[in-house]
Amino acid sequence: LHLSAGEHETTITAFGKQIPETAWTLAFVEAHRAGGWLPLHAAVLIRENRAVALTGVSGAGKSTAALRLAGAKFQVLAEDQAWLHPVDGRIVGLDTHLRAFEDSVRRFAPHLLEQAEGYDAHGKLLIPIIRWGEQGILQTLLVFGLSELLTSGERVRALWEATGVPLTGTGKRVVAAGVTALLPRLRMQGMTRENVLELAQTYLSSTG
Amino acid sequence: MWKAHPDVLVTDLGDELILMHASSGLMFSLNPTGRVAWQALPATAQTVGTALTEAFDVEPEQAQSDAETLLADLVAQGVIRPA
Repeated sequence: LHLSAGEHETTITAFGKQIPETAWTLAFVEAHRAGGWLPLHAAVLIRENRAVALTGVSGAGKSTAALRLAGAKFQVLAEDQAWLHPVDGRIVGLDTHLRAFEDSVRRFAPHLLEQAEGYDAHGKLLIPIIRWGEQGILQTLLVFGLSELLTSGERVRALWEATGVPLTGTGKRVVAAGVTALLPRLRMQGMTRENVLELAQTYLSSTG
Repeated sequence: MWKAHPDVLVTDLGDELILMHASSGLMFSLNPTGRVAWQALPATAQTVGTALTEAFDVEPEQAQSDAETLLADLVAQGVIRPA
């Protein structure tokens, strides 16, 4: 698979038929980066047009928090992956399902049990994200594992870690510009498993 | 001639430039002087010194010395390398 990524045009050329799925994924992610979209490793909740994203390392609690918020009747836009446009803040979910073990769904969001569409390879229930494909405007990024007030360095690191490392020179330039554009106007705050629900609910409900 | 290491992710905050080395995860903050020097790259130490002279009220000899010290630090931190 050959990728030529430019800010105005990106070309992906496939040689042969035995191309691993991961190579296709990497190529398409880079193509989107070159086109100005940032991949965001985050769970995203939406209310009306307002979106709040929850990020952190794998296992930090993003999916469980999303499930608990779904249990509180907030709409999930993405469980783990989304696309963010840094210029206007538009955010689009990439996941089609919320994945959670049945015990967790029973405990945190029992009303979703009847919507489940089977299990994934890890034995987790697959609950469809009803508003899949819908867009919101990202106003707040909550970060697991950091204290409430972030330093400028922590903000920069958290945003880069949430978007991932671009592979191409074009991707690096475009994402750097996007991160720079986002930082002044994106509310970012550290959170814990204990206060994530309260913070997310507050920011999803606030008009500021 | 020096250039930025390809693994370095750059975020320009205006009054501060933050460099993050993607492979090591280390971060560095450059003050306005360092920011001007970084933005002059790829460049020789002499070119960086000239950029500092043009940007700040500093004697050319002092700017040249500052440029060489700064570039040595950036090399030591692995965020720039020979072009």
